[in-house]
Amino acid sequence: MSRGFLVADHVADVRVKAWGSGFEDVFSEMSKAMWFLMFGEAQIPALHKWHIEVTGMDMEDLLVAFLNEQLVLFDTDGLVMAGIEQIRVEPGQDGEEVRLDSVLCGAHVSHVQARVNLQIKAATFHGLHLTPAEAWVTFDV
Amino acid sequence: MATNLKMVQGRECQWIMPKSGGMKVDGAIFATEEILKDLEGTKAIDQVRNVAHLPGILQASLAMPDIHEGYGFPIGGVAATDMSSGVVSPGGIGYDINCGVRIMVSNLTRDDVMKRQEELVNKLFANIPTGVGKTGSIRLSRKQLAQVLTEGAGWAVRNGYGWDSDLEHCEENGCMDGADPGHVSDRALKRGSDGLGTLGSGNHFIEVSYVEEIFDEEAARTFGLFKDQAVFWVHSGSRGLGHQVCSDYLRVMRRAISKYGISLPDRQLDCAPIASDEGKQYFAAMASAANYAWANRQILAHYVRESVSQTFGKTPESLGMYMLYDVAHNIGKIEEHVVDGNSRKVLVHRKGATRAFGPGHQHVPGKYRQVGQPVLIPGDMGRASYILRGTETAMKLSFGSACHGAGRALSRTQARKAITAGELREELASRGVFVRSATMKGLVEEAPDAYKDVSTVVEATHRAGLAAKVARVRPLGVIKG
Repeated sequence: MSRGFLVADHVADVRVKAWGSGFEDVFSEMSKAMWFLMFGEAQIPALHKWHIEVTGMDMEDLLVAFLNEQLVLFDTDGLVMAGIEQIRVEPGQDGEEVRLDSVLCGAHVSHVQARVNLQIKAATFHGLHLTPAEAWVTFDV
Repeated sequence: MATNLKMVQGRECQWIMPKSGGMKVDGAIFATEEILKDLEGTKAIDQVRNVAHLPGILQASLAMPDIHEGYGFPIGGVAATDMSSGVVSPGGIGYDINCGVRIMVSNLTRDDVMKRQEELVNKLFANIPTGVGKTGSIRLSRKQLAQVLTEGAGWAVRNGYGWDSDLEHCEENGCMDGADPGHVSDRALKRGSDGLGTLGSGNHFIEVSYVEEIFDEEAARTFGLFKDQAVFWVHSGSRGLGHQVCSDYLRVMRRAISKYGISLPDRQLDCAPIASDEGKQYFAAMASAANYAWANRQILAHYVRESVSQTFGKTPESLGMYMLYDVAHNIGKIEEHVVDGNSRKVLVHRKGATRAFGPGHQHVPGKYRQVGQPVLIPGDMGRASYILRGTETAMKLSFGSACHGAGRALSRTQARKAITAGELREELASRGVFVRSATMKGLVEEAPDAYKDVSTVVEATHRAGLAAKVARVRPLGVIKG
């Protein structure tokens, strides 16, 4: 099955559709879309790796947490994602929270030969739609 | 009119959406027929209806004339909730907590500014950090940051960024009670450590304008305004710290609605009882972020004074650069209002709305108390902005609230297709406006035609009686993030 994303036009904000085969693909494609919004087609060198682990009360919560954690790391540590090397989503059992483990690669923003196109304040729950095959997320910009 | 929206007209420019289904109160939209027609088919109307489902909401789910689609709440949404049975909803306050605007007056005129227009704008652009990821020169330890979150604009003044008199002319005197940095996450604190004194991007701006027309001579005199006078705007918010507080607590509230058995039609409205631990902690964190924003605008205003002073070779004092007022656009406030004939404390959520307290209100600075609180409504960088005053009607109809701006008409993609940066610069120059921006893309996305005409919104606000027009100003110079 194919995977990818598209950015939909929206008057005040940005809505993105991402698709793939399973939650891992969908989460990865949505992450790529978010970085595309911020840095466009710029080539991001894979100079560093970092680990992101988040939990959520459900898959939607997990997706929003994963995206927002990437924004936090950009804001605080200047980390810009080039790609996702590993990603694993573990459904919670018996009321446990769902969990995501990932390894991202990329570079510090000072090594990126491009300016930020768009400031994303946050991934939101507004109009959020998520299945194992696709997701729609609205970003507050 | 508006039968397909299932609304009935109340007063002039007031449309009532009667309570139905799970709505706990009516919806009420303040708008002209023209504005209302533009809303057909948008989600903003549904959002007014959804907000009416909040537990403990009082009187009505309200929308100001600049209503448009937001997250959970519409932009322009106002909801007051009961302090004992009501909830607090981060979606009713927004990601950019206490995004707001202030104006400083001056004794400079339009002619004075035009003689040094480019020099002044270049000086502002050089002195004020703008754009995404731009950090300020102020580095704060955790202890200092906690002081900022507790003291707000007062911290900035105490540290040399401004005058004591500035605080008297800030909503809440630039510092909200109830702030507790202990309820702000480490992530949010980290995001706030180097953002103080930065403008940000998007619709944030610094602008020098001139007073083009005065509608209310008495109020204008009271506000210190005169025709052709140069005034200075600062529009910014709580930067990454505020965004993180909102993100953090939306997740907390998601868990809280299950815990407290709250059922809502939109996840972005998630909330908790005001009196619950979650509600109290969010309010303390939100107030902290609001104080950060007030400190930020205070420091930006100081940089504006320095820039104007350097350009004209005079002190800010001799240039008469006094604060007119500072208002919040995204905030939750505990205020006293009359509900069903009784005065009581309520929590007013304003999401893209301005407090507009009327004459005589104890929280309006003494200097303005006879005419009402200044209500500052920015438009776009090419046309106009407005200064209004709060009214008694607003106290009765909208928990002392009015509109906050124009609202976007075009998406960012549409705006980029509509005009090039070169064309925009030429167009603005033909209107006498000189502009500097961190990026050309950002500039084009904020082009005047990307926004609705603020005059339409202000006219509806005036006719609805929520605020009364005092003066219209036109831009001369703008810096954008």
